[in-house]
Amino acid sequence: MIICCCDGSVDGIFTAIYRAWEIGTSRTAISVTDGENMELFSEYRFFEADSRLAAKVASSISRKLSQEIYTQVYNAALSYEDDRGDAIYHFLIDAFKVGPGIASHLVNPYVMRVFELDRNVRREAHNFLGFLRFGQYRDAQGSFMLARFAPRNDILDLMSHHFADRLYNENWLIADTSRHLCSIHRAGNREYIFSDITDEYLNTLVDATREHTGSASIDSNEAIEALFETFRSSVSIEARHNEKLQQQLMPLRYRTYMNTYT
Amino acid sequence: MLIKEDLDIKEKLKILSDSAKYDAACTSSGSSRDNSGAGVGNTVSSGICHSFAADGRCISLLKILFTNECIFDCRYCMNRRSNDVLRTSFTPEEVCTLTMEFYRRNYIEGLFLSSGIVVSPTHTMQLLLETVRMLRLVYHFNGYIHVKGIPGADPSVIEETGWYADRMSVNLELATADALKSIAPNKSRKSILTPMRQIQLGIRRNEQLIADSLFSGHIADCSASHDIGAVNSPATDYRPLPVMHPQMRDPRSSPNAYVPAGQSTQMIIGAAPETDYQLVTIAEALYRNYNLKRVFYSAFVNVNNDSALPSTEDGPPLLREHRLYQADWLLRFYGFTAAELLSEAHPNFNTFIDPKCDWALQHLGDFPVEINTAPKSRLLRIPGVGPRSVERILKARRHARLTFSDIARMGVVMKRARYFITCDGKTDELFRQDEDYIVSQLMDAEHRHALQISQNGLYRQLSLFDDNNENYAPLAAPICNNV
Repeated sequence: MIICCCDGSVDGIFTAIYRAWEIGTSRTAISVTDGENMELFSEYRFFEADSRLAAKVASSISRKLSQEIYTQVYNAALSYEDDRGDAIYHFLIDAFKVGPGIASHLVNPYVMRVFELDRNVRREAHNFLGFLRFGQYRDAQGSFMLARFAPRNDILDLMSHHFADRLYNENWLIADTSRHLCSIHRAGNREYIFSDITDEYLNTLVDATREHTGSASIDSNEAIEALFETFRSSVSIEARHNEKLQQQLMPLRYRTYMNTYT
Repeated sequence: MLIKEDLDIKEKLKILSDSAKYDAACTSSGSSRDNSGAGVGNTVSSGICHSFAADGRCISLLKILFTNECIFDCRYCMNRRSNDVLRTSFTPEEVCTLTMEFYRRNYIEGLFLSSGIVVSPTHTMQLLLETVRMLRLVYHFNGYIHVKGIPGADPSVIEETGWYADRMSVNLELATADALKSIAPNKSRKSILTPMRQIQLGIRRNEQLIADSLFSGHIADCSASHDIGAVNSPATDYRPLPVMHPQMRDPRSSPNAYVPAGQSTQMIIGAAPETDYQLVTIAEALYRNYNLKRVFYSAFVNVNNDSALPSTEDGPPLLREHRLYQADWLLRFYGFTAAELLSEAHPNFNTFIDPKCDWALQHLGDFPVEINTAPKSRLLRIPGVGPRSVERILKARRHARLTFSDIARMGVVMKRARYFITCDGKTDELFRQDEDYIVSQLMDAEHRHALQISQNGLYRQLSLFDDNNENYAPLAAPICNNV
C-alpha cells in the first residue's frame, strides 16, 4: 500500500488524489496527517500542493459528475477530521464508476462519510454566520471592522463569501485564530483576499483601538456591546429561564470572542 | 401615566425590549435577497440565529416596541392602560441607529418592530411605517424587517408598510371570539382578521404581478419615478399616504416583493379555557385560508397577577406549548390534518407522549411499515422519521436494501421508530405490537429526554444483564390520554 500524504488543504488533498490515481487506485490511500500513526508495511510519499493538478481534479468532478457533488466534496475537504482525504478519495473512485447519481448511494460508507463531513462543515459555518462578532478597529491605514473566530473546520472562505455580500460597503477583516489566517475585504468589492495574521498583531490592534476611542465613548465597541447586552438580558423571559437549552443551542466553543458572554 | 422624556437610549432599550419579549416570533427566514450595493445587508432564506437568551430562545432580530404607551386595556399585557408602568418611546432615528450599529457588528439579522397603541391604531401604524421607511430609504438598510400590523389601522398605511417589510404579522392573541372580548376588550376578531386578509391579498397580487412581468419579459424602470421627497416628510405628517406601486420603489434599498417572507400570527396558550383541538383547528384554518407562513404559540405568563386569568405561579404551560408546536409541524410538513390528531371527544394532547406517537398508537393496525417499499406519505407517519430522513431513505433504497443501522445513520430516531417499522421484513429486537408495552417504552424515552440524561447513540444493543431501561412488563393500567 502506498499512502499519499499532503498538507490537508483543499489543493493538497486534490493533488494527492491526482497522484494516487496515477499510481493506481487499487494500491493507494490518502493521508492528511504528517505521518503520525504510520503503518509498518506501507510506503509513505509526501506531495506538495500543486494548484494546477488540483484544478484538474476539481474540473473533472464538476464536469463528469456535477456541480452539487463538487460543492459537497469541496466542503468535505474543509473538514477538520483526519479521515477526510481518504473518504473523499474512495468516494471519488466509486463516483467515477457510478456517475452523478452517486450522492444517493447513502448505504455506501464513503458516500455517507462525505455526506456527514459536508453536513458538519456547513453546520459550523451556518452557526458562525450568526455567532461571529465584528467590532470597529483602527490601525495606521484607517478604520475597519474586525471579527475573530476559532472554528474547527477551515470555513474562513465560506464565511467571507457571506460577508462580502452582506457587509459589501464596509472594510473588514475576518481572522481565523486557530489557523492564523485572515480574509481582507475592501468596501465596494465583491472579492476578498487571504493573508497570514499573527495573534500579536490582533492583540495590539484591539489594545490600540481601546486606547484611541476610550471605552467610555458612546460609540466605542464596549458601549455598543453593553447596549446589546442590555437588550439580550431584557428580552429573556424570567419565567422560562433555561440555561441548559441556551448552552445546547449556542455551545461555549462558539463564544470565544463573544465579549458579551464573558 | 408616567411618561419620561429624558431617558437615555440604553434605558429606553431596556424598557421597550422587555415589553416586546412575549412576542414569540423572532424568525428571520423566508426571504432571500442579495445586497443591493447601495447599503448594508442581505437576507438568507434559512434565517440566522445570532444569539440565545437565558431562556433558550433564539435572538435573531432586534425585537422592540416603538412605544409602550397604550390606549388598550388587554388583561394579559403589562403595558395595558390601567397599569402604572414607566412609559417611553423611541424616535425613528433611534430605532434606525440601533438597528444599523447592531447589524454591522453582526449581532442581529434585522429589526422586529411592534408597538403599543398610541393615540389611535392608524397613528401608531404611521409611526411604524415612518420608521421602517426611514431605515430602508435613508439608512439604506437591506436586511430583514418584521413589522406588526396594528389591528384597526387604516388599510392604506398597512399596505404601504408591506413594501418595506419582509414579514408582517397580526396577532390573533386568543383562540375564541368570546375570550378575546373578555380579555382584550379593545380588539375584535374582525379588526384582527381584516388586516390579515389584506396582507394575504397584497402578497398574492404582488406574486401575480411579478409572474406576469417575468412572463412578458418586461423589466420596469424602477429608478426613474421614485419620489425621494416623501422620504423626508416631517414626522408630524400623518396623512395617509398613497399606496405605492412596485415600479415606484427604489430598487436599491427595498425588497423586490411585497412582504416576501409572508405573514405570521401568534396565539396565547392557557389564558382562556380553549382546548388544544380548538387551537390546532384554528391554526389549520389560518394556514389554509390565510396562507400564513407560521402560527406561533406563546405559553401564557400572568405578568399582571390578574385574578380573572389563570395563575402561572407554577410556571407557564410550556409542555402544552411544546405539544402544540409538535402538532403544528405535523400539519405543515407531515401531511396530517387537525381532525386526525384530536377530536371533540379527545380534545387535548397527551402530556406523556408526543402527538405523532400518540396518533401511531391509536392506529397500530397501520404498522409496522416496511422501510424498503412504503410510499412517502406512509414513511412520514412513522414516529422518529422526519421529512429529511424520508428523502434520504427514498434516494438510498433505489440502490440497496436498507437495514436498521443504515437508516439510523440517515437520521431516523430509532428509540421511537423501532416499534413501528420493518427493514426487509425483519423487525427490531425490541419490537412488539402491544400498545401498553410501546407506551411504557416511549414514555421512558421521553422521561429520559426530559431529565436531560444523554443516551449513548440512538440505537442500543439489548444486553442480558441490563434491565434499567428496557421494561418488558406491560403497564397495569392503561395510560389516560386526557390529562
